[in-house]
Amino acid sequence: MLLSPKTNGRLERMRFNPRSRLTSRSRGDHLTGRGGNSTEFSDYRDYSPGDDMRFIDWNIFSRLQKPYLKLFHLEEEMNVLVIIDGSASMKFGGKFEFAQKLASAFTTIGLYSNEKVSIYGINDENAGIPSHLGPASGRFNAQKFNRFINDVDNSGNITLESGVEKVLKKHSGRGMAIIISDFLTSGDIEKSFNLLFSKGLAPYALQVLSPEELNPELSGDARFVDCETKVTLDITAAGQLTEIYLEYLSNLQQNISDWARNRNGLYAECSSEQDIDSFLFDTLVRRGWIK
Amino acid sequence: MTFNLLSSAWFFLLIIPLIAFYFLKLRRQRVEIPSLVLWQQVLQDSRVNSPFQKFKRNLLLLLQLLLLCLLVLAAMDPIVSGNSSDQKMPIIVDCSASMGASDDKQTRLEEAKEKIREIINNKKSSQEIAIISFAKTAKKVCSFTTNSQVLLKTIDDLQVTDLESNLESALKVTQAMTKSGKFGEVLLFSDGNFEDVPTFDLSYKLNFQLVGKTQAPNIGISQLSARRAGPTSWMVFIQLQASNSYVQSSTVEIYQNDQKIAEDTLSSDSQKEQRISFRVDGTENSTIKVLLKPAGKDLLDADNTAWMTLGNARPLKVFIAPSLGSISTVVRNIPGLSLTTNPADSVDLSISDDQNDEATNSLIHMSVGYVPDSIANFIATKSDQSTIIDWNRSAQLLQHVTLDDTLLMQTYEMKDGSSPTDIEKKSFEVLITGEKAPLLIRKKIGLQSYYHFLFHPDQSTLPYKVAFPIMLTNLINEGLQVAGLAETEANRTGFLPKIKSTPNTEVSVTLPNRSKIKTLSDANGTLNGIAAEKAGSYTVSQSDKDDQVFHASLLSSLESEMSTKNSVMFNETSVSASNEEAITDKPLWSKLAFIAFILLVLEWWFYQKRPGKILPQA
Repeated sequence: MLLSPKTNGRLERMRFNPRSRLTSRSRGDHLTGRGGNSTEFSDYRDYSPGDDMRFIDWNIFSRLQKPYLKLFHLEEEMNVLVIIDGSASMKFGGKFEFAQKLASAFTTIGLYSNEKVSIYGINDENAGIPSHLGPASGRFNAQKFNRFINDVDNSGNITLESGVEKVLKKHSGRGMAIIISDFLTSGDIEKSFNLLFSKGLAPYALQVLSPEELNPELSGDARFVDCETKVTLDITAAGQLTEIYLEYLSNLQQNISDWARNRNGLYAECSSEQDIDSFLFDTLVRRGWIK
Repeated sequence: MTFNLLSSAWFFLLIIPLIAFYFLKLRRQRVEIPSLVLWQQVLQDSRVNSPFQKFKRNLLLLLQLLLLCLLVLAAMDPIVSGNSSDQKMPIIVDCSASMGASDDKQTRLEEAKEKIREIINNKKSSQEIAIISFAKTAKKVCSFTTNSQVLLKTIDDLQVTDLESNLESALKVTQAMTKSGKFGEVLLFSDGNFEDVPTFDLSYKLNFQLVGKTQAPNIGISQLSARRAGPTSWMVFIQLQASNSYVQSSTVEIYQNDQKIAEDTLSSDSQKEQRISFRVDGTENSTIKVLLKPAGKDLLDADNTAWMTLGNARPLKVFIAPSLGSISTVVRNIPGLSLTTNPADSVDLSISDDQNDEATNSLIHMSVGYVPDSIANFIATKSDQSTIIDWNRSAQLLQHVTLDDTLLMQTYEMKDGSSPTDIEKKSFEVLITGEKAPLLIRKKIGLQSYYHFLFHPDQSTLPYKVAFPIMLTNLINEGLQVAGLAETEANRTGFLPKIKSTPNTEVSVTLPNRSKIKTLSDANGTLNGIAAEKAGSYTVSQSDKDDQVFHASLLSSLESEMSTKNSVMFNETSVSASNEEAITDKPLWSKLAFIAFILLVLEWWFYQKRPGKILPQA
């Protein structure tokens, strides 16, 4: 059980709040901008010859002696694609565990609001299609998704760009793509977002970082070893460089945020030691991710 | 700056293995991190690659190099050369009475000692220092030595003496030391309370270090004397000397044999030099003690008490041989004398033409009409007439005496092969010179004086001249002075007066500080040269005699006035007191070692106290 029953109970009542229409043609629960035949009232307009008589509001006609046509929204389904970064860098500082909880929360929200939810765990560079589950909808799939999330491996060495490419080979359908990663990759993040956007998926970037990455406390001489590539880097007087590191980290976060916003997405960062309830029901709500 | 151990510079070669080991053995903490992406960007940043940042990257190496350099420099024993770089340096220390004045918490001598100790502690190991102390006389208390412990011990042993200062004696001793080695500068530590030495030619550089303050309130007894005032009394004279800054009143108390006989208060608006006098009873021997009690601050205690011994105001006892008619006629007319013709009586003055009477114990003996045995081999007598050619006008016996045209019935001449020098070699002083030989000679043995008239006055025209009674009056006056019957004055510190004792006998002297010294009387039974550096009572103990008490008093207007000189006048030059401290060579090794230690601690703190935090793994 990744999340507590109380948290799950609150998540069941939450809905995604996409910035724009991110629906597929198939019918669903999301209202479109154009008219449709759902039960959701949209507007009135003057009757024009040839219009379907069934949509005339007879109550208004009886009062005004003038026919008005009653318009309804069109409701379409939205794909929710959850991509969880399973590279080795995620195993530091409890990042992957936090990412699993977030993935569980997002799939729960999607399944309980009848979205078409898919989840991909990207970790292996050599695998053709990343391990995935879905698309599926409905609350009865929640257990299945949780088990999948629990089983996702986090020892891969795949880059985010490569992983997204592999995901898009399998996935189809418009919607939102929630990428849960530390985004500390040598790959081109913007290109990944472009690929998603070109497939009708708005990139929702959620950066999970450990407290040591957010505020590194280093001093003296050190030899840094990249956990994925095993490349080493000698650092002298690391304490003196922390300020510059934080500056670059801030720039990276700003860039990811800009790239996501420019593609109808959103960005949020969190610490792996942050309280999950506070992040879900406070931070993400205030930032317009869910409602 | 110089280095004592320049050979230690070879240790700088350790820089090579240090650099080699630094790069070979540099152990970096291996830290596995999620991604190097951001750190690679950080290292490519221009700010990180700025020269200053590059310097900071190798800060550890630079700190180690700096540490090594400091240690090697310390091992080279660097020395900052002071203003006295001479290999030999005499130090003259004033130990006169005024150096005992306490301007603040410590005496002036203690202040000088502190400065000298600093000089000794900072001197180069090869530098030689000699110590000369001076007051009335100068002493080389420590010859040139490099041993700091000996020098410090010498300085510790220096004490203030109740003597006035005599700078010239110290300068002469120092001048004499130039024979044992050249030196360019001589340090003088004094309070400037001394007389100029305008006749002294300074042959070296004198660095005058002034100690003490110029404003020194003090008042003291500068003179104590007495003059015969009638047959049974003495008139005692006291002179007080105050410094310029002394503005308080003072009280003078006079004691005779520890009985207070008089008291006088001197007001503050009086002159700096004041005299008071009073009459005391002189019917028996007594000791006069004068006690000065200043009302205000008084820096010197030694000059507040003075002692003087007064003898019985009796007549002078004179023995005159009955055969000396002319002399007897003159002497009988001089009042206040007790004359006798018995050679066995104890007298103060004896005049005789009999060689056997020389054995009397009179203080002054005058023989007339014969040549003493000790010089009989040098002088011959002829029956020709002769005259007096010259005489010593400064001798007390011949003061105001004119001996021109005096005819002698006999002629005295030097025998062949002898000269007046032979007489002088016999410790005689020639006072009257005849045509070919001395006519009046004087010899002093211990406390006694012997005058020898080789001719008989009755066989000359001398008794018919005015000079004759004048000469005899001078003789009587000298007898009064020697016997202490005319005037007397207090003994000053320095040396005790000559003391009559048993010949070749050991004598014990108890000093004012209760310590004892032993000395030996000479073959004539005279105790000479007993040092009296402190004012107070000196008790002389002999096995066969009762204890004798002598007193010594400072009695120096120079010391009591406490006038401070900022410069010393010499012949054609003057030396001013230096405003700067005497700076000697200062070793730097300890400071460098301390900086190296601080650097080591800082390096440890900087690199070891906050080790890099290893990112926790999943």
